[in-house]
Amino acid sequence: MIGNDIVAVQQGKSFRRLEQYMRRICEDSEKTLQIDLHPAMLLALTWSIKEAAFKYCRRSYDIKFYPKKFQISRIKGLELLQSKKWNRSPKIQHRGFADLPHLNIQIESEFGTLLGKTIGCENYIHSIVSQDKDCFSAVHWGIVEIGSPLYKHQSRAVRIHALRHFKNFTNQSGPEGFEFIKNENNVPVLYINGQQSPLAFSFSHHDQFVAYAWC
Amino acid sequence: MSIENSFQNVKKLILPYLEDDSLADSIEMDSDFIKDLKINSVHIVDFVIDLENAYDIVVDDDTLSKLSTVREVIDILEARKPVI
Repeated sequence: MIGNDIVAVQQGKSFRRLEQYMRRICEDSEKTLQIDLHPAMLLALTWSIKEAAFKYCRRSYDIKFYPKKFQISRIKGLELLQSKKWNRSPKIQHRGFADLPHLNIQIESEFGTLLGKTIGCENYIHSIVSQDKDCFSAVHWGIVEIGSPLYKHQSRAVRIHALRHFKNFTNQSGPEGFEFIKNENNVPVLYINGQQSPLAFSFSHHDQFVAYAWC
Repeated sequence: MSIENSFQNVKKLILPYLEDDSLADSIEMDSDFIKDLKINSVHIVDFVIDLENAYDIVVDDDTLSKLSTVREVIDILEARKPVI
């Protein structure tokens, strides 16, 4: 099982506003976040990790997202955020993280310790979270810049791109028989010809970016 | 200020975070920010910060963590009024 989230880096927001945000989403104890980073990037990083953690936990628990419930206890690889090594392509499709610069994250929550992988660039941050460290090498994921911040476009685009990636990987074709339906916890479930797939999908979108993951 | 006035003021604060102007007419007291108004979690925090700035109040963490509907926001504003 996995949870994912993508957050656009909002460079245009005022520092005061960003500070108000951080007060809302981080406990003082999250000292690992006291790093030299542009506040907009720090906000996107923090939010992305915490909402991905929430989306992972939501699969098993009927909970509402509240960022302070998920505390980031460790981030490894922060130097990447200041480097030029991150992928800036408007469209990424990947399996695992072995050949990609990424951050390793640890999160504490009332549901236990969670692990995460984060990638991004100056425009967005994307995180995938799980309690199963082995799933990160198998997870399929993708990010697409769609050019529209509207929910209806984001929602449609993320399904289309996830399904396209899934079909390519499984050598399936044709539009018929594939449908995503959200379950009672608002988690997307893939049905193929009416049969529920055992794969865990996670969708996210923010501004002009959409992201998906499955394993 | 009446509840209706509070509702109208809160509605104005919500409007910037609606993706579709047509949703403005569907804002009701029992509208759920996520399910009915399709406001994402980032923009809910945006809205609460706007609310705090507009009314010079602080919405505590516990209240924010449970905030779902427009009515709950009105309740916050009503609760700060002195009882005469």
